[in-house]
Amino acid sequence: MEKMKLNATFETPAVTLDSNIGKLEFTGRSLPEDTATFYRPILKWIETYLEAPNIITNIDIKLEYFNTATSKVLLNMLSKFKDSNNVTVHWFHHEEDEDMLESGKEFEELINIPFAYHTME
Amino acid sequence: MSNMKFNNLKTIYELHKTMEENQVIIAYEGEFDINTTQSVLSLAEKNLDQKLEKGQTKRRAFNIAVECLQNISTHSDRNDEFPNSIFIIGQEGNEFYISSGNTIKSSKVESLQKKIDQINNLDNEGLKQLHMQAIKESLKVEESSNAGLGLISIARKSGQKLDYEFIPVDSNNAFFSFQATFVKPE
Repeated sequence: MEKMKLNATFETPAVTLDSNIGKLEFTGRSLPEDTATFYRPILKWIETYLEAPNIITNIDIKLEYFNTATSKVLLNMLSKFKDSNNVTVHWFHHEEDEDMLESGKEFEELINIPFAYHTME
Repeated sequence: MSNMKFNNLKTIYELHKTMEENQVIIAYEGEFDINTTQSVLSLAEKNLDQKLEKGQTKRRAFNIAVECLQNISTHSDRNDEFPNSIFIIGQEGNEFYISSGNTIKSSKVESLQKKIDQINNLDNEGLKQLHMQAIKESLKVEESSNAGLGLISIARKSGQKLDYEFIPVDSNNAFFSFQATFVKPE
């Protein structure tokens, strides 16, 4: 399946979705008011991916900011993986950003898939 | 301030003085759509970047600004008679005030008031629980009904009580003034 790559904008993250290595990466900020327009093709890509996923899937969330509209989409998106095997969410945060770390823990509590926490520059 | 008209040059000076006296950093008054929201947000970020250290502090203040602005464009009940909303960031010493004002239907006042009062009565842990509950519920119901997620997020980032006031503008509409405070850490 096609690799998907989107560049970052003022209010949307850089996105790389690569089925060959089972890697989904979101970097930057996600603040769109209209989350549906931005995330619909991503959610569609994920649904197709899940029909024949890679042996392992790593989802890297390297966000500096996200708005509450995005948090709904993230929950929805990550929940799609809850019945899959070998999926890990890698949740990145700036070292001093305890809010972002806490957000990760909240998502982990809401979704039954493993989370790993990492700091980023 | 009464009887202001745009063709009155004095208005320019009066508005300028009012904004200076109230320590306004940014004010935008007008119709809010996705494009204006983004422009105002970009301007807000530049100003916060200058006034706050990078890192957690700036991120929290910026997050409040994002939710505040998006509350205006998502939840105001604009109509031909009341098309405009207002967004203001002010600063007094270490305190930043992030404010919005928009018209909503009078029928929504009671539930919005209840929502904010509920948020104001909770401590950090209570807000966390409310957030978890609200985000789960928000997935069940369709769009737009964000179950107050934005307000909860503002309260958590602010760490202060949310201030608000409803001013009836006619029999069907009320003006909703909202203010979040953000204290710059020592």
